[in-house]
Amino acid sequence: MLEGFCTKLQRHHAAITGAVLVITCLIPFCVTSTYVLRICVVAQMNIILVLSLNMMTGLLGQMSFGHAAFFGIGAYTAAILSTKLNMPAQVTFPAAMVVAGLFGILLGLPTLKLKGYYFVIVTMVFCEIMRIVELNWMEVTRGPLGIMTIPKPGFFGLRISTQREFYFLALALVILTVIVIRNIMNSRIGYAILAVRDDEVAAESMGINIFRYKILVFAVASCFAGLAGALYAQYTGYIDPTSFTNNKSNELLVMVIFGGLGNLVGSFIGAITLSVIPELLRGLATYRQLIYGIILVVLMMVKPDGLLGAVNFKYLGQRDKLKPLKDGGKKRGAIWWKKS
Amino acid sequence: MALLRLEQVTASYGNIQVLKEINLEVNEGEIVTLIGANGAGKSTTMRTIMGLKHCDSGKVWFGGEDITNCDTRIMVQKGIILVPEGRQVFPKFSVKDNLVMGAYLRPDEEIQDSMQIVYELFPRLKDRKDQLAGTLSGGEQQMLAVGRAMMGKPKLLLLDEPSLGLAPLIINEIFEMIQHIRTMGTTILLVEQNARVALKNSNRAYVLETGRIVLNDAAEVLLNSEKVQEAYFGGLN
Repeated sequence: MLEGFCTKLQRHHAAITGAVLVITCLIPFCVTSTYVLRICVVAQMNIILVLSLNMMTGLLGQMSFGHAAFFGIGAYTAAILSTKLNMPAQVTFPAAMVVAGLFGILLGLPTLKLKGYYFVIVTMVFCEIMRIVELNWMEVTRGPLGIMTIPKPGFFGLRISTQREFYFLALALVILTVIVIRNIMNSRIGYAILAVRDDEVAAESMGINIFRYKILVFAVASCFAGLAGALYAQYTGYIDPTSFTNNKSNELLVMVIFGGLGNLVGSFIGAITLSVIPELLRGLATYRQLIYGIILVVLMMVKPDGLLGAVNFKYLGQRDKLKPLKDGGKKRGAIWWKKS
Repeated sequence: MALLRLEQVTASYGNIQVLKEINLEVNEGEIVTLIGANGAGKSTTMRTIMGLKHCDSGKVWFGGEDITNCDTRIMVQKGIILVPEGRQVFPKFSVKDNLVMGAYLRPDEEIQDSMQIVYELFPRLKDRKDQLAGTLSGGEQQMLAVGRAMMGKPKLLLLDEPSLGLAPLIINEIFEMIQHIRTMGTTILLVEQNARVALKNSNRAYVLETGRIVLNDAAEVLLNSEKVQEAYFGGLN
């Protein structure tokens, strides 16, 4: 059933993508509540984080429990540059990406050979180390006091300050992330990354340089986590080490797994659903965490792969094209709203 | 001149020396088998040839060039391709994409031709080209692994235990394929536990024991040699 539904999605993916884009662009004009828009911005930030984590965990196959560390590194980089040096956003955002990317490579180099549990432990510890550094390096990070009054971002004199403007900034960053990750995954590099995930020995015997592709994924994934961090810092205007703990890492990983490891569409669903559900449940106060937990447990029992973990849109599309046409091709290409 | 020559190759994992001064030659157009018990160093020999494992001393020559400890990538470009042990296909790739990965270092326009050749060799792969490789049967996965290696246009094909875990009928089928690949002009170096089938299908063989080559002769001679029979056929003959 899910497969059939996804085949239909794939068949009309251009139309659906367009429709979703139009709707997302209209939301900030129809909704004026700052509370709702705030949730939207946070959800978009989570999408960037989850997409990049999915690249590392779902596509390269390295289960990372330390993604929040890169998120934090990006946030602190942007915060420090904009408060101490008064840098504009066209500097702080790329700088956050570069610094986080460099840390990604630094973490990648010694852990290249690690897999499974060992890699999990190293990434977890890395996240904890970063938190402790942020907490104790008073001169730079102001420790537990956090960095306050971070200026709102301005790109080449264009100030971004209202919720609606932030919404579109976040949307633009999400689109940038999707374009970069999608293009990488659709190129030969993407094939190599998936091959490394499926079987390292076989991939290496085919002449694929495992070292190069692993480092590349580490760099790109942490770059985008850093980008989300910069957005977070300059959006909320205040950061402290409690936002970048293992809790945040786990939350992100849960979103990835909820949507389905290795499926980019799933990452959107996971990030949006799990950013919105806790807010919807806010009225239930005490029972909120309980229900959140139950939802996750039920999903893992019903679909252990996550919602779209077992779906490969590319192959569904290929198979769909080969299927003999029952109605002589009328149905294919017909779009749902044109159906009589 | 030999296509592949190993000269006094030694390799070790930590303190344990696994290969002790291995000398080995594979001539063009031959099928050569390495037999030996578990832990004798057969797979390590393969890994050393591929550059997946670096050797401590000794030289590896391929077509007159010194390729000792080169990158695996260079080995593949020069035409040595390994089919790893235990049918290591990419389970979440379709059969077709698995084959495409085999031609990773080759220009795109040559892929179609090679794929046709592989499909002729293994018609069953063509029937299943859009299926995920992980859903194939064991025999089909082994065919896919061999087919994928053929996509790289190997001069020398290294097969590490192609019969592992397969039914006798399928094993025969695989070995027919190996013979067929040889007639297409590919030299083959084979590692096998299934010594009888392997020897029947090869020209020459080396017997490895704890990292040393103890016997080296034409395949028929070894097939009838008492020492080999005792050690590997369990005296059933």
